[in-house]
Amino acid sequence: MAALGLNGAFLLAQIVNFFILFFLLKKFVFPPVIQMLDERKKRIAEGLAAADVARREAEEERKKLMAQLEAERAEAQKRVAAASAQAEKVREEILAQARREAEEIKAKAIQEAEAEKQRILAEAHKQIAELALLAAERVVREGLDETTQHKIIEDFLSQVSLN
Amino acid sequence: MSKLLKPRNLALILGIVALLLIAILFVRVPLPTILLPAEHVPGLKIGNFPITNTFIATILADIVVLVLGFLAVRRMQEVPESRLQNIFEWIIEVFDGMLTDIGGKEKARSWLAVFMTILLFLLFANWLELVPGVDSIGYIEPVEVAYAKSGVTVGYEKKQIGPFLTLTNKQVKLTDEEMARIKEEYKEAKEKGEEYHPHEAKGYVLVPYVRAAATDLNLTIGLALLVVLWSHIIGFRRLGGKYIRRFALPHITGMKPIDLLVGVLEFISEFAKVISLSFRLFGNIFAGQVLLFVMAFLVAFLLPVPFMGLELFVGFMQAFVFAILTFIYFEQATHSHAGDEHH
Repeated sequence: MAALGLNGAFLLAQIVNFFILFFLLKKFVFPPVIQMLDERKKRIAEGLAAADVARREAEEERKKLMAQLEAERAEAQKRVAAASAQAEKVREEILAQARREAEEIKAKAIQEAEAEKQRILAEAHKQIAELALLAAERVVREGLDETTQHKIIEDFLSQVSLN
Repeated sequence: MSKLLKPRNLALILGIVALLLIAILFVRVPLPTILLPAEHVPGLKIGNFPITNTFIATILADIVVLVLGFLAVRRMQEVPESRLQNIFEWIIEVFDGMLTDIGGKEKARSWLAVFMTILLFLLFANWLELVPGVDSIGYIEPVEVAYAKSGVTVGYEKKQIGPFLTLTNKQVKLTDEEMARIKEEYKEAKEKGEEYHPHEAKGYVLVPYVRAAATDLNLTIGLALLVVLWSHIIGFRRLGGKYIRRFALPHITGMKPIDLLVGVLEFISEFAKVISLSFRLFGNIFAGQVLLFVMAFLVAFLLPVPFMGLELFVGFMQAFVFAILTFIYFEQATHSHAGDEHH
């Protein structure tokens, strides 16, 4: 044993030394490191889980918004279509109305003009007849020679034109 | 080939060759005395208790581990700014994971401290052998004294270089008559209760102040005994009588004589564990030390460098193997299926 350098006291010293080292490291060095590692691991796991939840929520929110937007767009389109159809109808109505009124006005005007014409013609007939009567009266009254006749007719006629 | 002949590379190669030549021709170092037992450091005693150079290395390794450990945990931060904290956390995380793979989370956490203490302590104790000055700075002692104490027969001449006393590579061998004379003188001195001093010193040997801790069997056997005993305590505390039964009469084959034999083998294997743990560590580190001695002796410059790299690896590997085997022994001791260890 001596040839190997084995010695109970040295052996024991080494064991004691190891125990002291073990105790110091176990008491002061390893626990904070292990605690830190565990804490960090937990925090990373929590962070990842939270990020996951947030991402899922955001995705849902996005989907919801997209659906809403889509619905609104469809609604708007429907409204625009309805409005333009309505407008078209109104236009048609207005046009028809206008055409009808124009037609009426035109017909009325033609009618009035005809009536006026008839009235004027009737008036003219009456007057011509009266004048002719008047002229005939005068001619008869004076018994006239031809020259005088002519003169009377011319006077008459000038009178008529003067009228 | 053309790359090799670039001026820079050529200069490098020539430089290396020149260094090797200078080392071979002019710088010859003596081969250190290779002794199995650790040497006592002269003049250093605690009470009546001498201190060996391997014990100094043990204390140095303790100090390195403790200083690094305490510095690493001095200001722990969630987002670490200290690189030391980072490295420490990384190491512990890696080995915690490894132990968890082997023994499960509960066992890994219970014995992580033992594992890490062994690993870190042996790592720095082993790497100490690579520090310049370890094994090479020491006390110069007459070869006669070394012969009387531990049978060293080869010494060297000494030489004063500036303030330093050093050994040259000129060997001095003790003759048979001298050996006989020294033995007698030593016996006389011992009988008188005096310390032995030779009348004239023929040569000298170097007793290093620091020598790698694992080159001392006291450390390796002490540690191996400790962890094997510890594994029994753990096993008994966790399994109780079932644990004892593993060595007495385990239920394995159901045939009593065979089971009894298995129990006996199991018992013997516990001693084998101590031997294999301790001598593996001792043998590797001791051999590494001798390898470095011999390489430096052959060529003082450059040649030892690759071997230092090798020793760096061996130092880590041996520390790791010791630690992981300790963990495995603990794990086996608490395995509840008796006799199921031999997969």
